[in-house]
Amino acid sequence: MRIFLLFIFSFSLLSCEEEALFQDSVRHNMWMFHKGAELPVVVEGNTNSKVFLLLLHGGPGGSAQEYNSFNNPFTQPLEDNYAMVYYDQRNAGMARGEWDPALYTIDQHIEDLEQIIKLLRFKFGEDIKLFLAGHSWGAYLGTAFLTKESNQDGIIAWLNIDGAINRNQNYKDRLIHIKKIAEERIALNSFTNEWMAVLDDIQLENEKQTIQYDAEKEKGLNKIMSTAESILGRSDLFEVNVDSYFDGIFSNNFHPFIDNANGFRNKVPLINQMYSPFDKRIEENLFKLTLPVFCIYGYYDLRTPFQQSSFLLNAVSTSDVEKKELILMASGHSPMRTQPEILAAAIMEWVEKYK
Amino acid sequence: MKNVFLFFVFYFTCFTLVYSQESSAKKEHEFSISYFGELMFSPGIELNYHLKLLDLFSEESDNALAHAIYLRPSLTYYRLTKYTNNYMPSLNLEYQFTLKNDEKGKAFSLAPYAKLGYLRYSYIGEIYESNNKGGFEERRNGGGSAFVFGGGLNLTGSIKRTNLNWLAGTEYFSEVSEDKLFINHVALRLGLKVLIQP
Repeated sequence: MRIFLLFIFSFSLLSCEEEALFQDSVRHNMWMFHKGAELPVVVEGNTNSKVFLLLLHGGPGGSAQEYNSFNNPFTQPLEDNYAMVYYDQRNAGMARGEWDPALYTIDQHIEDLEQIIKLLRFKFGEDIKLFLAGHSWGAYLGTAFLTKESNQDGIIAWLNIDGAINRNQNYKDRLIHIKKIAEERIALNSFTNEWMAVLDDIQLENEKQTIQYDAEKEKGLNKIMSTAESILGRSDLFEVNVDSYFDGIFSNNFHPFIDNANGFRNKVPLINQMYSPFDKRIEENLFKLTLPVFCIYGYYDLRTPFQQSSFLLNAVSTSDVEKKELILMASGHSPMRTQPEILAAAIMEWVEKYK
Repeated sequence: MKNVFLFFVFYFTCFTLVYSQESSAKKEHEFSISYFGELMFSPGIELNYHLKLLDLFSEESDNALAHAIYLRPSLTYYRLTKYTNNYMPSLNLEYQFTLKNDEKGKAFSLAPYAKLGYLRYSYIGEIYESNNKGGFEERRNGGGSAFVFGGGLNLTGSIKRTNLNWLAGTEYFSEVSEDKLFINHVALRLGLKVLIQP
């Protein structure tokens, strides 16, 4: 029993460690409780810089803690210079708390993000310089957040990484982009038969002449995209550079089963909210955005093709010199996995300009 | 789920009351202490009391086979260093199959078991709750709890002619979270089991 108590005491001591707020290298573990959700918020990196880069994860249903646990080659250079903020959204990733379908809405996700920003200012002060970044669905959420009322006022600049800014248009862009990539690969004699089959499927999808997608109608195109991604994955186009399973799970405590369980939530209502009313709401309000915008897309991203970058950059009122676009030629949907150093370097160069 | 839990508690209580009458004459006590690693390396510690409920079959020879049923109350603590402290009292019903050589003083056991327990997790880090005034209040505690069920397999072997045994095992349990999700957990254990004979 004494040994057991000694162990408990030792573990308890570890849990009592308190880190100073501002350091060159620090990790702050926080939880934010809001309307039934219990969200893990991790601030890690150089808080002394007072530059905070809040990274919204993809999905819906992904995890920002996953970036922090498995994508060290991407996150570490950023953490060396800035404070990275990773929070898992409501009922996603490592988040816990209640499951209330009535609160599983885009409006609620925007409100949660507003609360996270309030919490950061409450904890680290009003003088922090806050940059917002979003990957995939996170970029959609970020855009929806920024176009709401005066939310952009508290943000220095907006970084869109492989985001679908307009979901319906994104699906139309997918049809064009997958076809283009298929033709390119066939010309290079790479998996010709399989790409030909993809082209046939695209032809069939085109014949449907879908004007307005929804969660049901997008299934066919999702299947084509998965097949195409699988062929690209076997084509040795990308060099994956991520942390080992050991680092992710054992050193960083990412719990795949909590993430996996959250992944089983029904996301259909949220997806349909993107189609309506949010696609229209965002499109109508994009012109209000005047903050610097940086769009980064993988050339081989078949989920959110780089045409979405033009969609965003053409619609905002940001001055041309503050609009930036980068297409990474050896990446698909997740450049933090395939070109992490280049991605981090591009972000740092951009942050340095505006911080 | 509560009904299932109550049924098991009732079942174990009855079982223990009935069979502890028969085994009370032996008055042996077995305890074990082990490292409990959720996902192998999230560190923890587990204490067990091994209560023999029933000797099913035993051969009286130097090389003997023995079968027994054990009830094993256990108390487990493990820590996901960056997220949660976890506490789990549980009851385990174990079927133990033992090969022993009395002449050499060696024994080896295999023990599959079923588990029913209760997991309490508390968050590591500062906890902030939004309030009606648009601000935040810091909370001292936060976390949740859930019933768990699962099972596993323990291996034990004697350490020379002592009352000590090494213990190794693997366990799976599923957490039925407050919002009705099934969250899987896998753990390994490594420890010592001691037999105390008054």
